[in-house]
Amino acid sequence: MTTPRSTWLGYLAGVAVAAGVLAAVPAFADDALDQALQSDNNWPMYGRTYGNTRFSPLHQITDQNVSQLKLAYAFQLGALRSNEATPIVIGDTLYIPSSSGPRSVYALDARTGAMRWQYQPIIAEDFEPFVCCDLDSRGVTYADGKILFGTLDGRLIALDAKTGKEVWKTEVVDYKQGSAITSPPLVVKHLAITGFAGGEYGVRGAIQAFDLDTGKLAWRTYTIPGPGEPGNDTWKGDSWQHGGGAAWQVGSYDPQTNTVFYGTSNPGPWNAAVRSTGTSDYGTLTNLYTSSTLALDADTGKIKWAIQQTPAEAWDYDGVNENVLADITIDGQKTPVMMKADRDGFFFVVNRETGKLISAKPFVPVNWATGYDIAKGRPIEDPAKRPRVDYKATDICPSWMGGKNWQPVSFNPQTGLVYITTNNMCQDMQAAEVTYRRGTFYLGNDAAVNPGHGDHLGQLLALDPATQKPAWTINLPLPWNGGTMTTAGNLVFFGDIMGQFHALDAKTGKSLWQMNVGSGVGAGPMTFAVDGKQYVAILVGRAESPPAYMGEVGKKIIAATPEGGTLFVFSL
Amino acid sequence: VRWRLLWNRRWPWSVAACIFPALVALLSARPVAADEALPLRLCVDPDNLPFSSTSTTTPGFYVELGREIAGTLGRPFLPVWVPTYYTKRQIRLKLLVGQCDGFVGVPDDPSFMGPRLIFSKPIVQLGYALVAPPGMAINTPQDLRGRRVAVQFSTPPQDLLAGATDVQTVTVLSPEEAVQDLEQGKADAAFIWGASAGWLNSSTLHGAYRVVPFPGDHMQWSAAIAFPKDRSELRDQVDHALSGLGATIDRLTAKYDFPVPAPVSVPVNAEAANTVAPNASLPKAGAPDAGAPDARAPDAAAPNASAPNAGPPNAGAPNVGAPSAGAPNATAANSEARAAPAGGDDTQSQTTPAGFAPAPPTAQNIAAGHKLFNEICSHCHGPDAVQGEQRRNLRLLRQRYGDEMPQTFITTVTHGRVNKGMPNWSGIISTDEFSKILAFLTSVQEPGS
Repeated sequence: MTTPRSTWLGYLAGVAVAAGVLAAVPAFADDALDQALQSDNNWPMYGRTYGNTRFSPLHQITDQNVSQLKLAYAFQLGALRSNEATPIVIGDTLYIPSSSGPRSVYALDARTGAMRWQYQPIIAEDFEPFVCCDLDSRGVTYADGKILFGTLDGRLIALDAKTGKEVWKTEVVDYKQGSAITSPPLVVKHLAITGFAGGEYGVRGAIQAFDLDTGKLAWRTYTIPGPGEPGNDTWKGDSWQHGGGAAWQVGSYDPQTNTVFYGTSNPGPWNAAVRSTGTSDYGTLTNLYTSSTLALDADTGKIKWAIQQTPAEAWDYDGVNENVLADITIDGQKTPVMMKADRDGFFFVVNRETGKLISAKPFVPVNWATGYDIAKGRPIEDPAKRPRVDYKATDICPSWMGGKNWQPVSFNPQTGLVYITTNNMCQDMQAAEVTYRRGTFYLGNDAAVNPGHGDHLGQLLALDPATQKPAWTINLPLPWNGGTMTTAGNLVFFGDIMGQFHALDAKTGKSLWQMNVGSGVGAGPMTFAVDGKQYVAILVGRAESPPAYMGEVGKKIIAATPEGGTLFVFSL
Repeated sequence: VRWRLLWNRRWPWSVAACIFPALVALLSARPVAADEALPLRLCVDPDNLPFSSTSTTTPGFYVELGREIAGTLGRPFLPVWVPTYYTKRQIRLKLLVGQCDGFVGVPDDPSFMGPRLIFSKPIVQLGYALVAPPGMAINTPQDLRGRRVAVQFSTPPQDLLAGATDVQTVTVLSPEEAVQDLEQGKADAAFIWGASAGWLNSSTLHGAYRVVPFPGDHMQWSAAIAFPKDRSELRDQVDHALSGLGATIDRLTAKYDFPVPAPVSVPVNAEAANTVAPNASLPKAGAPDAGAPDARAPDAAAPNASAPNAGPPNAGAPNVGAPSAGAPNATAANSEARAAPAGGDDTQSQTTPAGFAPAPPTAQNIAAGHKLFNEICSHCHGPDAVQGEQRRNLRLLRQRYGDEMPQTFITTVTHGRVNKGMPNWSGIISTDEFSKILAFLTSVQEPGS
């Protein structure tokens, strides 16, 4: 614990009067969602709050009693493989989608797991080739008495939360361009906001908002500026048309400034020479706004500002990872920050009100850049680590898997720490010729991942974002472990890819409890309380597609556990 | 002996033909050098017996013929070694830019590369043949009834026999494999590319088999020497030389054991042609217009009026050791009729290449396939085809599909298995590239139990 004591004491005080880190401001969202956000008992959205902190103020289960945790119920989702969802709980109902479409969305009695309704969307039969990286659904969103979620065939669907009956559905994107919706929408006021995937298919990314009542499009902001728009000249020729920048992860929202934050994927194609110089001297050809974070006006979608973590990206370092919003004390100053454990291996701390970069330091072994120039907002690249068509760069760290991938981090305002499951993997990479065709991979790359240097392939890292120093680490034998959740009970929960679900002391990292859940975990855990009883839930079911691209390490992941699709809910 | 198996790789009309037309037009307009005193430079494959090779003892039919033609013209002969994997590309890159004067072993068909080329007289007839032990008396398709017959994948013979319920086919990838199956008793007869069969029979099997040419549409073609269109003077000189070289050609076809055409009766031809046509919906060749019937063939029974836009028969490519079937343009039409399940947007082609087989397992081909695989396929099937999920494991193709492996491969990559996540790659990956990827995959198959 390296955070000054005063910092987290301040947060403790804040938590005592408010439901969450950013939930204290009233009337910024849909009323029903507002109300849901006010109760500590709920887990009303993917990251629990708009700030994606995955911190719960509940403290019935603590570091003192977590060793008594027992299974309350298990629920089979009926779809195996890549179950990545975080359930949400509103009142006494738990909502969760399965993978594979989703095949099903369920409403359960949060106490018992008894099914209240099941909804099965009709998904296009041929969607699979257009989904790059598994058949996941990361969750549903609650607002206005509705349950909203995206589908792998590019639609957004709204259900009646009570009955599971369809209220509306709308096409967000033509999945046949190589797009899917894998993350739950972000609801702000009367709008459901969503991006879509497709950075591997040469799509042009966009973030779109749909009217909560009708499903009609309210605004659309392309992540890649068109001709005449600022930033379009950061693309070579007309390469912007297939430039990627897909916003496939969850968004965040700051009600203070009415700003929505989304990360964007790698540019397309992976071969950077198609869209930039192909070298580390990329000049102005930075390919905005790919591998970036966009700050958008929630009402209009207008881009307020952006930072680009990886300019002229060439390693599959998506910039999509979730932005965690919190107020932390840096050099004695309470600072409204946005934090991101980026694929490119740097942990970014940005003033979320001004867009000013505060710090960027490696949180895993990084060698593609020797550092980050804060003043310029640019990485200091090592040209030897940039793949080209005529040059195979070897031992690039991190690999395409990223220092962290989609598996969510959590931030505990009481410890002041961010909990990140990291990947210590490196790669050899060479660019290649590539042809665009709608709906097929647009990569132009030959990559092979290898174990990173040192004694571990994965790690649970507790990082102090104010100082960028680790508080503690737990080494893990494999990469690609599940996301984290943290509570006011001084606990961190996460599941690993070996199928073990862990509870640890949030301050020290001491292992307090673990349970074999039978399949590798990717999803982040969550917690909720009903009738005065706190529960901890984790969805289990390892991925299949990403490990297939991980060589021998991927074989170990596949061999470690079978696929799965089970929700486990624990209580004291 | 290594045979070129894939026809389409050599003449990828449908894909490659449209790529550099402007460039070709530009280059082919180069002024012609006065070449009377210069060597006659003919483009030939360095490794494609019985047609050509760098061997001094058996340089191959084309090389020896070229030497004779040059001698007749009073010029030194200079072979220009060109791998003929991409015949059309090599014609563009070598012949049409003046690196050689003629390209030997091109289908004698005016539609082959359109007006850019002119052709010599036919230099040899080539086609498919029945191969069987002398005692078996196999001369017609009827004689194959009740037999196990080795046929090369995606060739007109395979199409022809596909409709025959009383013939058990044994699919092979190469003439060598067919002959091996004969030797090992896995097949009673083979129905393969005749020149290859003849050469194998004499060079490695001591003439143990009878090789009987099988005439008819799609089955026999004539080969010629191609020249740039502005070299008609040279073409005329070569034609004049050829008219005096009949005896030489006979000697050379005998030396290299080209099967002698003619023996099968006309009615069988007609039946064969009729049998092929209904099979046009097969994913490969056998399209009615696939084989440009050669009116000059003495025994050609089928009228060639049926092939107005005929892709010259791929199979007829004399410098293709063991070509297979039909012209890609025919195939495209066929596959539309197939109405394969839609794999994407409307622009996606669903063409299954004609005459598909893995590229010969040379280190070069395997390396090229490996590179392509890692660039394109590894995202789902693992770098180096190493990953842990059995249903994605392409090192198990042989165990899973056995002899059907190439066919399953090409059908899958050109149509996708969209309901299982496999895209349709036609139009993105060329047939040549597919064949190299398959050569790589073939090289990494896990042995069965």
